[in-house]
Amino acid sequence: MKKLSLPFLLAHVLLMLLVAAVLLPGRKAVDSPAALLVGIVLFEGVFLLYERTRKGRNRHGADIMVILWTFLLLWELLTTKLDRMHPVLVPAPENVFLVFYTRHRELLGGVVSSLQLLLGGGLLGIAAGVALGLFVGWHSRLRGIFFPIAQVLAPISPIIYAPYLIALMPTFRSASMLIIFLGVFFPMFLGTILRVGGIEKRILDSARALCVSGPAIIPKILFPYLLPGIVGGLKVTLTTSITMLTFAEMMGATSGMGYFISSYAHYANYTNVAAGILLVGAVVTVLGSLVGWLQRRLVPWQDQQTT
Amino acid sequence: MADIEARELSYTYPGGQASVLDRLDLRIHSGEFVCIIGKSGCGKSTLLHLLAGLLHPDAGQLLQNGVPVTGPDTGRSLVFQQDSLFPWMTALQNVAFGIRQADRGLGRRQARNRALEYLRLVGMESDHHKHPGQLSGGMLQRTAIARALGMDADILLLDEPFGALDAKTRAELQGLLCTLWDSAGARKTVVFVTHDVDESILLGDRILHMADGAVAADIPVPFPRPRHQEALLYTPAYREFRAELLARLGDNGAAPRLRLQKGA
Repeated sequence: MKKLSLPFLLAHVLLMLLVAAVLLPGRKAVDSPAALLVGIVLFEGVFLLYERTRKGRNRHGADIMVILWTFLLLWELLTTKLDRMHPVLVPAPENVFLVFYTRHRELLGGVVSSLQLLLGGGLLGIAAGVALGLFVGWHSRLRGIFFPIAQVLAPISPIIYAPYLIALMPTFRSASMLIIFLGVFFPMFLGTILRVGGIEKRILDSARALCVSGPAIIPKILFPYLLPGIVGGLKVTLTTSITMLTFAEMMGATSGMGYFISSYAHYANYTNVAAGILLVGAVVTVLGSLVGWLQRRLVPWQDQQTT
Repeated sequence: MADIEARELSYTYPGGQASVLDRLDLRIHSGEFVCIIGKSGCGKSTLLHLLAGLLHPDAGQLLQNGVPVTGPDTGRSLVFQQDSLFPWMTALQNVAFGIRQADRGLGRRQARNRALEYLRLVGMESDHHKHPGQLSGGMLQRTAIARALGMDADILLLDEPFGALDAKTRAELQGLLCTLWDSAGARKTVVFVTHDVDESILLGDRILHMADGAVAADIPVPFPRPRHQEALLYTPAYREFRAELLARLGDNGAAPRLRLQKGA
């Protein structure tokens, strides 16, 4: 049994205060606290699991929990218990968490719809960006032609011309996929071309001395050599594509997480809006840790270097 | 059979002013261990790249067994001072990859077994699963040598392979290379580029001194094999030979430290 650290103790004191606050009667009438309590149990469960299995990766898990519990405690006190906030603009946590239960079909459908767009557009963008980047980066003539063109086009965020794309494309889904695709493609394409240019000359000499020549050099040498950099950029890519996605969905979708938020904002139902925002955060977190896992699986030689 | 002949070999880097190699003549016999020394910029690395087929001469001829060298060939294996290995492959995968490039008919299993054999030969069997990023400089060069030998090339081209190693590791690897070269059934032809005078005397049958893009001197090494560095260093014959060699190099601006030793 390891020694309990101060943040760990503090986090659990705060947790007990929070649970006590939720269970005590307050000034404001709110929905059942069951969903909020389930949420708290989930947070604590994930935290304890993380501490057990991943010791050492991030030692500041307990600190993060202190912040989380403090935030929830303040939220609970200011709304339900003391009723000091605007009743419509700042909903009580009980109500917000209950949305995850009462609207779970709608929310789940939104997540599925969003993930389809995200994975469709994002994966295509990554694949096309890397493949074309390798090919163009390797052939000096193509690089001379397409690198300047890409440099002009890349900084124009698809968000700027999203309304035009939505008007242009036959369906809304194809338009949002294209927006995500373009948002991911250009940074990947440019980054890959630059990385090909920066490849260690001796690696290429070694490859040529071993008679790896012609087009085979791209899959056999360039791709594995550049893989750590490509995979390392995936987290940034994920952030970009989520931004593109939620933006596109708010423009005119009929489903998805962004749509859920924007449609309820129209009706001033900020309880649902807050739940939608929390859901986006949860989905991003899950996807982010998935990318992290992928990084460790795909480039073991990089991970080992740092340990 | 693996002899190398260069006739009036010239090379200028694209966009460069002066030629790096200027009508260089050279003859290396099959099974010979030849060291090339010279100050940096004398063209010794360029010569090795030409021998490997990575560069093409502007003029002159480069022949292996009387046949012109037109490009890279797994019959000539190259080891650099560093970064010869691919960072995404383990030591074993690196060696096996080289072996399969040299012998395309070989199955994965056979290549793996042969790679393990050669890694054992260089003392890397217990670290064969590690990636280059986890290996020390000496271990990297051991692996690179295992790959070169595993490919069963007739000619080994070594570009300052021990230049980045500490003195102890360097001495170990010099010994290892000598033993492996000596114990092979048919001796391989070795071209070893170095700037270390002691290394060239210890390893070479012959020392080629390069200056101004050509072979300035061709010096046979008179010491019998096996040579033991510790024993050899204290013989008067060695010191005399070394001083003579340094005198030649000194005219071409060898390091000041070497001049001091020459006077001592």
